[in-house]
Amino acid sequence: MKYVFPVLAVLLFASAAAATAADLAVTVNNASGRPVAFAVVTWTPAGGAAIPAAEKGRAFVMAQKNVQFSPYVLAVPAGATVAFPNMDRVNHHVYSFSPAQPFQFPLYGKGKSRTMKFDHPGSVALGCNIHDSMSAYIRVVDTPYYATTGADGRVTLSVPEGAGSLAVWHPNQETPERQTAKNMTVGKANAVQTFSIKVRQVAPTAGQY
Amino acid sequence: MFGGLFALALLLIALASYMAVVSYARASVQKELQASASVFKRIWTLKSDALQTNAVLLSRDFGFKSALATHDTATVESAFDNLQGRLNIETGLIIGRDGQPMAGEQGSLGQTLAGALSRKDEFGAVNGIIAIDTHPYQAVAAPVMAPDRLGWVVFAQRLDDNEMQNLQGLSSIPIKAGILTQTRGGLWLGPQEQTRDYKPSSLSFFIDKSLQTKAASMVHSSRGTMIAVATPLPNLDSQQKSVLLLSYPLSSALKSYQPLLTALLAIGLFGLCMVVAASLYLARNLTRPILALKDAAFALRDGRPGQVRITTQDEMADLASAFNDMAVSIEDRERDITLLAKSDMATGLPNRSAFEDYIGGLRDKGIDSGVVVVCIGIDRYAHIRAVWGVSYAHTLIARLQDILVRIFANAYIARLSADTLGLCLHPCEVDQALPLARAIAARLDKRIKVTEDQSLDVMVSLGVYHMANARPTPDEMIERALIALDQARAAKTRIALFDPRIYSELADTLLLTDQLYAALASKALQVWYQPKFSYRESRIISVEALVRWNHAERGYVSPQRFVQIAEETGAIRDLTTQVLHTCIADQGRLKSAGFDLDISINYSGRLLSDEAYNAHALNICDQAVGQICLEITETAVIEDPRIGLAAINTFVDRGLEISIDDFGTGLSSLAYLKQIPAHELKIDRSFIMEIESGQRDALLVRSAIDLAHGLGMKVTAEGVETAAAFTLLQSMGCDIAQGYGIGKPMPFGDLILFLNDFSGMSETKTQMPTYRNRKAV
Repeated sequence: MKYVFPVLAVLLFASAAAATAADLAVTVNNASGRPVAFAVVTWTPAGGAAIPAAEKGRAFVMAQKNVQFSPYVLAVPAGATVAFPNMDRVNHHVYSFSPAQPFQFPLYGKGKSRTMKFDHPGSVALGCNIHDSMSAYIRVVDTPYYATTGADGRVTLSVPEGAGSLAVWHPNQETPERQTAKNMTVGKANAVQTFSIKVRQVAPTAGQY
Repeated sequence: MFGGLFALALLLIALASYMAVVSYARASVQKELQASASVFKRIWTLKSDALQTNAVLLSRDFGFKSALATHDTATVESAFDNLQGRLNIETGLIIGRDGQPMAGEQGSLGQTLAGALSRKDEFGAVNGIIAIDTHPYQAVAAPVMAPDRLGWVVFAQRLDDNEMQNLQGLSSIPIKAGILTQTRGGLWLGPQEQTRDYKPSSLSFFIDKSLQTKAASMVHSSRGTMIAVATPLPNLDSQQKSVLLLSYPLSSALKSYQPLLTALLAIGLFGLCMVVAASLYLARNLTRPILALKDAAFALRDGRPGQVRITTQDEMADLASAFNDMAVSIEDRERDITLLAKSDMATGLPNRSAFEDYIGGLRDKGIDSGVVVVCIGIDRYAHIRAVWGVSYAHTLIARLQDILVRIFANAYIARLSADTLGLCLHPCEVDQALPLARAIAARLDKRIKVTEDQSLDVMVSLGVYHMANARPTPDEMIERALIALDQARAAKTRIALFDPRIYSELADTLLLTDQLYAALASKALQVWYQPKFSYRESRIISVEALVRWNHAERGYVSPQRFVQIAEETGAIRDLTTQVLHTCIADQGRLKSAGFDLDISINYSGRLLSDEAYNAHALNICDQAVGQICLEITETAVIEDPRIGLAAINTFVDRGLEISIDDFGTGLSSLAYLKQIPAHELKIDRSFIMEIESGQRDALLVRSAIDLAHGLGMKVTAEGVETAAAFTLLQSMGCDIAQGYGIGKPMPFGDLILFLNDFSGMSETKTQMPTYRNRKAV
């Protein structure tokens, strides 16, 4: 029960914030103007934002299917738990050597699943020890305001008005930390924010892209 | 010369063959080099594939990845060492996530590789050359993907000389291989042992060119000219550029063609021998006959017989034969021409040219004395030819020649002109020359039987020239004999020996003619006057103008001589004109001095027929202040009475007086005397000189005076020198006296003095005037 108050406070704050929320539309294009999918867009208010427990408690899944990870990019808030169900007939040996969260699930077969809680923000590159072509990323974010672009390269975030940092992360972005960010202030109505990022087109081990 | 040309052609062929061989050798070496380059690349690929396989194997190992991800350096090193030892890999290194070497080679190779790979953003394995201080390495790098790149596994193999020699061993020819890397300065450098034979600058230049043209070419090295080609190689470091340089000595390339070149040389030498042999053959069969033809042509040119000996059956023989025919016809024609030139066409006798040749021939034989040349002129030849015909006349000449040949068997006889035969005899003494001529004349002055039924009386004149000591030319000898012939005819002596005196007089006449022209041009001739005394008026009433020529060298030249020359040359016109002008001027001066005198001027009979000149003379005489009298000889009129009389009538009509000069010496014709409207008759001095002693002359003079008076003419007696003659003539009724007794011809200045003296004396009509001649004439 000792956690109840803080949780309530967060909820209250969140609801208070939600009361003054505004829509922030973001379009991510590549250098040639085409929409970029699998880009993780985050909004971090200037004062930071607590992640509600409900958000952390959502079910996040990184499945293995047809000898591929699915999805290619999964964005989760810090503290979330991700399930890794094996839907193939073959075994997989999922691993990560990323400093944010090194781990491995030695061989497990069809119908079985493993779970892993991701507490530290950062990116986690996933691989399969026995299938080199399998590749996926889990982006652990430190804000409740995040979304992943679809094939149209667009997302719309519902964020509180005020100053903050808008960032776009993509596993193949050719920038340090593979991220592009800019500071801005969100008002009641906001123009569509467009990011033009450099993305390496070919990733030999990520055929799904 | 042909040999030289053939040799040159052979040389060119040999040179072309050599060039072709070199070019072919280069082409084949180039092919070999390119094949070797392909082999090298293939080997390269194989080796790098092998390296790559192992590198990729390690990079994919999960445990290795794990150790690398967790910075487990010890594990990484052990894993690397394990693989290196197992695969016998020369060198290599592991590059961590931070781009720094983690295990293996840590030195400059490691740093360079790390630097090169930091610029690579590959997910697959890469390979290429990496050079450390010009030492090339073959390197393979495999990224460690988990699935993001954690680092690199790099294996490298040094490409040392050994490695290169292994490659060289694979080629069918001993190619030398080297790998060169371009420095920042653009210079291509490689390991010392592979590039020491070249100068770096020229080698770099060559490589740049070879990369552009992609073909093999020549490059100089200390070991001779090399055929080489540079092929670019892949580089691991994008900042480096490397090439594979394959080279092959040109001499080695040509070595395989040595037998071919030797064969070419042998063929060339054999060809040269053949050329020499062919040239000699040509010389014998072409050059030698041509030279023989040339010699023959020169002989022909010099008038010697030019025949070529024909020894063969070829075209040259045809040419020689044609040449011989030509030579023969040229000789024939020359003979004909000579015959025509040296003979008289009508009679076939030698002509004057041949006659000269004969005399010249005698001279050439050293005979230059005791030669006599006789020119035999047939008198009245033109008449004979006119009456009897040309061919008859020619026959006569031939007949005379026959006769002469019979008399003088060793004489040379020629026809010098239509009517003249020349005869040359040797030997003949000078005193035999005239008897010889007489003998000829005696034999020819006969009735000659010209044809079977016709004979003719022939008269000949002969001119003889005997050559004793003088050395005239043959032409001059003939000329002198002809002059003698003219002299004989002129003197009507029938036979004349050439007289050098007359000959020199003739020459002098020519000179004198020139001098006369000069004297006329410079007006050096003087006019002197001889007074004429009138019995009736007892005074000098008239003077006769006489032309005098005092030549600077000759002194006074005889008027007869130079007037004759003037008449013959036509200078008489200028002479007369000058005299007329002088007389008219002098008459004017005499008049102003108080003497009104008539002037008589001799007018040549030759001028009478020149109407233009007559008119000219009349115009001059019109300017005279007193009376002008023209003295004309009777003979001049008789030669052409119609024109002469017409001219005289014109003169008279214009107021001139006419005097008949030298009466009694010519062929006096009373018929003409009657027709000439003369005012005066001058009795020739030859009658007057004898008048005192000869009764007949006195009678003639008296009759002439009477005749003249009867015809209305006054009479002048010339040559009055004595008082007796003067008196006698006066008694005969003569009107005027002229002569030394009255006064000699004198210059104009003396005439004035003479006239002053004369008029100052008191004279009677019956007395011969006496005077002092002031000057000797």
